[in-house]
Amino acid sequence: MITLTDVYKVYDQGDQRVAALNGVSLHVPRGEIFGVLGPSGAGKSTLIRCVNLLERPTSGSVQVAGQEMTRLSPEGLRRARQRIGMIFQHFNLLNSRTVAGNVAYPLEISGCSADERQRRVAELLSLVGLSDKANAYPSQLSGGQKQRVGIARALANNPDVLLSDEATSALDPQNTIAILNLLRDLNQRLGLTILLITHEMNVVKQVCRSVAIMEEGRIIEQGTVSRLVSSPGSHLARALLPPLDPPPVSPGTTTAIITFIGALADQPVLSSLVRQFDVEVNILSGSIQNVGGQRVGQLQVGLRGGQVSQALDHLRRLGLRVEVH
Amino acid sequence: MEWSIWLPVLWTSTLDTLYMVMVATFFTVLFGLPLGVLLVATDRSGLMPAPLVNQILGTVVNAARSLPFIILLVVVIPITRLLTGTTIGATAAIVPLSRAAIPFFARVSETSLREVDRGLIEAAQSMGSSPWQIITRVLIPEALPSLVLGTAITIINLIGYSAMAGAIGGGGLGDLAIRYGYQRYETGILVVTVLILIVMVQGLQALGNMLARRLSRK
Repeated sequence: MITLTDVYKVYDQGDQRVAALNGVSLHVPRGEIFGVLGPSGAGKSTLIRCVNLLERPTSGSVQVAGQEMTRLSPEGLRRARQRIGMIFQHFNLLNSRTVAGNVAYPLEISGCSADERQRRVAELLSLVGLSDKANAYPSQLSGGQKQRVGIARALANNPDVLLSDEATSALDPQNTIAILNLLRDLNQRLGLTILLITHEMNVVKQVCRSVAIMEEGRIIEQGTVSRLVSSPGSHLARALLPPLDPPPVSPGTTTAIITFIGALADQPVLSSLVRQFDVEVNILSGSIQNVGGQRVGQLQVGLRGGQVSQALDHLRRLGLRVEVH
Repeated sequence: MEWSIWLPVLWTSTLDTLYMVMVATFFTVLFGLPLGVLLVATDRSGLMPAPLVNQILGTVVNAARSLPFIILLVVVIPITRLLTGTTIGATAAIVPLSRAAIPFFARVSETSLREVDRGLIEAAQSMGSSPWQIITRVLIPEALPSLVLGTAITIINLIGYSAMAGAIGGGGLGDLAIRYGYQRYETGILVVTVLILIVMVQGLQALGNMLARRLSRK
């Protein structure tokens, strides 16, 4: 749905040339929730603005829904943008318009008739759960409500794609969860493709199926969240699964870190070790969390006696990730 | 002092002042606001970047503002005659008044329009708005409270200018104050015209504040 190929964005600052994007390539399949994660200053904002050409890339190709954005005429670009919704960290609602007026704005731009507009506004407000606030002004709403208006407005023209620019970064934890759930719900119900940028790992953990990690204008890692979490040494895995304390050294004990993903996290694999391989299992530390709708567990265990190496091989055959220290 | 004589004169002069100030305000906003919009839109980071146009406009506006009003009154006499067919009276005064206030209001409205959050413009662009749609549906409505206050300031300036226009035969309260109050030593008239001007300015500022507050949804 969205394909960036070798995108560069270079700013001239006096005699210095600063590259905000340094050869970024990215593919977001239809119906995906794709997160771009990185610290501030990594180029995420520039990246998402290059998708709807709020920033024009210095070079490279930007395709959305099969259309090469960089080659569109001004009029063509405006029409393409009507099919790409965008929501913002600071909501960017028009203060001079009511909630209904804000949602109606993109419909006015796309030349919708007044009757159709009214119908669609009511539909959108009920979709985001704000029907009772139609005549309120943005200044009378909470942050979470403002972002709901932002989402309703972004969806007004039935876009193929929703771009989310740090949409939850100005919200409190509860509203963040509510907005993320709404996005996931919209993704499932409408088949909406969502590209979001964020500096919050929790956002990726909660809603993204795929992720790209950015640093200094480059994507340093890209893939589905579940694959990256289960690849040892990946940036995502390191960031998501906190490093475990080094185990106390005791002779005759093998220490291993076992990572479980998905259904395996719920299986009693450890007890099978005890029964089949006659090893003593001592749990040193561990955690289980939800990542991208999957359960990911990590256990640090001490194993002694019996057939330790066979036991570990058995775990690997089951599809667990095992690191021996 | 014979009030039965002076009252009708004061009344006519007040109406003259109001007439030339209001008509001049109309032309000032009519030409000044588009200039302000152009100054903002053609800016390097504006909606329709055109640095050269921006620079030329800025220079013209500055030059137009640097002429002292009393000089301007004389300089535009030929234009006034061309447009109104006369060079004295309230109608004739409208020409120099508008000419003085247009560049002033261009700068005032430019400042108001620049205060509109860039994020709103970006959001409007992301929804596929044309520059014209952004100007008419985002920039001006969002800046409206501030534009109203700017208009109030401009009108108050025009009242001050109109008194000066009176000095060279423009009619209105200024004319009255100079010819009778000053040249004929009718101090009472001088005091009353000043009082009327004070009330006018106070009333306008209060009206502007009230309107701006009512329009502001922040």
